[in-house]
Amino acid sequence: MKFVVFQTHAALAEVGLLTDRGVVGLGSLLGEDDSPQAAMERVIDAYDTLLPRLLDLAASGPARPVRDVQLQPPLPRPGKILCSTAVFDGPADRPPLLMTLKSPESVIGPGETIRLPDVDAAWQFVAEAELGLVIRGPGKQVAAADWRQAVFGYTCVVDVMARGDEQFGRDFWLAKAETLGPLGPCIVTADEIPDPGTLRVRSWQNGTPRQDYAIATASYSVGEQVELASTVMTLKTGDVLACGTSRVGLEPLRQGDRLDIEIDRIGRLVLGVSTLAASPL
Amino acid sequence: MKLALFAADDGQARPAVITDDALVDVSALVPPGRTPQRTMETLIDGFDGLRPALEQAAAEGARRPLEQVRLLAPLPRPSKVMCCIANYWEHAQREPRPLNMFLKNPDAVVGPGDVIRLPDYTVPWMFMHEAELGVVLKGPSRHVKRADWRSAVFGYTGMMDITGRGEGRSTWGRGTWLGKSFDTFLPLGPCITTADEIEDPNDLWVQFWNDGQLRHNYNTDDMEHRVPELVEFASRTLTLRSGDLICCGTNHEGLGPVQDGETVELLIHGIGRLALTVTDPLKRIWERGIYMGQDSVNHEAVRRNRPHDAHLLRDAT
Repeated sequence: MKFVVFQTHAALAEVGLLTDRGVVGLGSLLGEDDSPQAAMERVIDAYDTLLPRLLDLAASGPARPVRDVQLQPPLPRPGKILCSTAVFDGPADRPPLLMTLKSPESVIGPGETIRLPDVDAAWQFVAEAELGLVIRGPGKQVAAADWRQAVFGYTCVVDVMARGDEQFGRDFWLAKAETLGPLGPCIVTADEIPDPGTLRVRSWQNGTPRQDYAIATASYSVGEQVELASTVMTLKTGDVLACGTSRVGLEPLRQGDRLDIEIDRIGRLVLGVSTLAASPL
Repeated sequence: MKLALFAADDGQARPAVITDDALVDVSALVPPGRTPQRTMETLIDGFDGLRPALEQAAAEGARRPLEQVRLLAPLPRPSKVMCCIANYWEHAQREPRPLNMFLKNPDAVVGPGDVIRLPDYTVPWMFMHEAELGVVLKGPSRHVKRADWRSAVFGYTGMMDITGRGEGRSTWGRGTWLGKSFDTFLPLGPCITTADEIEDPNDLWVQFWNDGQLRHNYNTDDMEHRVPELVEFASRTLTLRSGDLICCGTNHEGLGPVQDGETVELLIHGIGRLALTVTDPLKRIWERGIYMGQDSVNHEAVRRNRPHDAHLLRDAT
C-alpha cells in the first residue's frame, strides 16, 4: 500500500492512498487532525486496525487522477530525521557508522525547489539519494535482527549535503538548512518490499545519470542502522532514518538544475534547484 | 517573570508563574495545548497580551510552596535544539574560532528531579556534564540581524549538555555530535526567565555541582560568540520557532564525569536551580572530580600536562 499527502485546489492537505486508479483521500476515515504529519502518524500507529477499511477504499473509494492533485511530502515535518553515514562503495571501505540530525524544516516534496544556502563559493552542495525508513515507534534498543518491528515503510530521501569545511561538522550544520531534505513521493508499506536489500537507488541531474547503487552493498545493513539509532535515541512514529549513500556519481548542484531520484517500487521524486537566496521573511 | 510547567494533582502538565518561593497555577489563563510543549508555546506567543493577567494572578492567586510541587521541563519537546560548539574563550589567548552549531535530539529533554540514564553502550568511554545557558526563542524569526536579536528572544533557561566522549574530551561521533543525543541527555529548567528580567545574557553567573562539589563556575561574559551573534547565525540557516532553543555552549574548564548514583545541580543566577540524579545500568566508575586529562582546558591541568601552553592562560587564578 502506498500513502501520500496531497492537496487539491484551495483545500487543506490531506492523507491519501496512491492506487492504480489515482489518489483516494482518507479524510472520512481519519477525522480531524491539526496537521498532515499528525494524520500520517495516526495512520501508521493504527494501520493494523484500519487495514480492512483501507483495502476497501483502495479498491472502490473515490479516486482523483494523480495529475489533478499536488503531492506534498508524505511526512511534512517528522519529529526527527536521522541521516546515517553508511556508504555503498564496496566492502573495503567501512568507516564507522554514525548519524546526524537534519532539521524537520528541511523537508520539501515532489516538484519543489531546493534552495541552496547563500554562502561563499568555496562551498558546494551535492544531492545524496537515500533510502528512507519510515519509523513506527516507539523503538528503543531494537536489535539488528528485529529491525522490522521499527519500520512501517519506505520513502525516497535526498540528503542535500554541503561539501567544504568539515571543521567541527560545519558541513553538517549547513546541510540542515530549509529545503535541503526533500522526501517522497510516497510511503510504501514494508509488506510490499520484503527485502529492502533488493532495492536500487538512482539519480539524474538534468537527465544525466548520476548515482546508481544497490542497497545490498551497504557498509552497514538496515538492521545495523536501526540498532544504532535506537541505542542512542527512542525512534518515534513518523521519524525518518535516511540510510546513507554512495559517494560515486555525485556532482555539485547548480542554479536551474532538475533532479530526479528513483528507488524501484517506491517511485520517483522530481525536484528543482535554485542558488538564489530565499527572500527574508 | 519566571514561567514554568508543573505536574498538577491529576498528573497533567500545567503552566505556572514562579514567585519567590511559591508557584501560582495559571492554567485558567493559558488553555492547555495538545501537548505541554504547545501549552508553553501558547504562553510565549500570547505573553504580551497575557502579561497583566499573569501579574495579577502571581500577586493574588493561590500560592503553592515550591517544595510541594513537581516542576517539569519548561520546554518538554522543542522542535529544534541548536547547540553551539566550543563557544567559550576559556581564558586562552588565541585566535577566535569560527562559530558553528549542531542539532541535539529534542526527544532527549528531561526536567527537574528527573533521572539522567547513561546508556547500556560502551563505545563512548565516558559521559560528562556541560552546564549551559539556554536561549528560549520566539518566532517565526528568519534572517535576524544581530542588532535586532531581542526580537527573536523570549527568555532564558538552564541546560545541561550531557555528552558521551569518544577519546579524551572529544565528543563521540566525530562531526555528527551523536554522543550528545542519547535519551535523557538534555536536562532543562527549572523555568524560563523572561528576557526583560535579564539585562545582559552575557553577564550571567553559571555554577554546577556534582554531589555538592563545585565543577563549572563561570560567567557568560567569557562567551566567544555572544547571544546576538548566535541568533543571527542560527536564523541565517533555519527559521527560529517559538519554543525552540539555542544552547550557548559551555566553559570546559569545569568538565567532569557523571556516573551512577550522583546528584547534579545547575544554578544560573537570575534563572534558578535545576537538580537531577544519574543512573547507569553498567555501574561504570570514573575518577571523580574535574576532568584533568591531556586535553583538559582546566588551568591546573594545562600547567600540569602542557606547560608550554600555560603562558597563554589569561586571568589565571
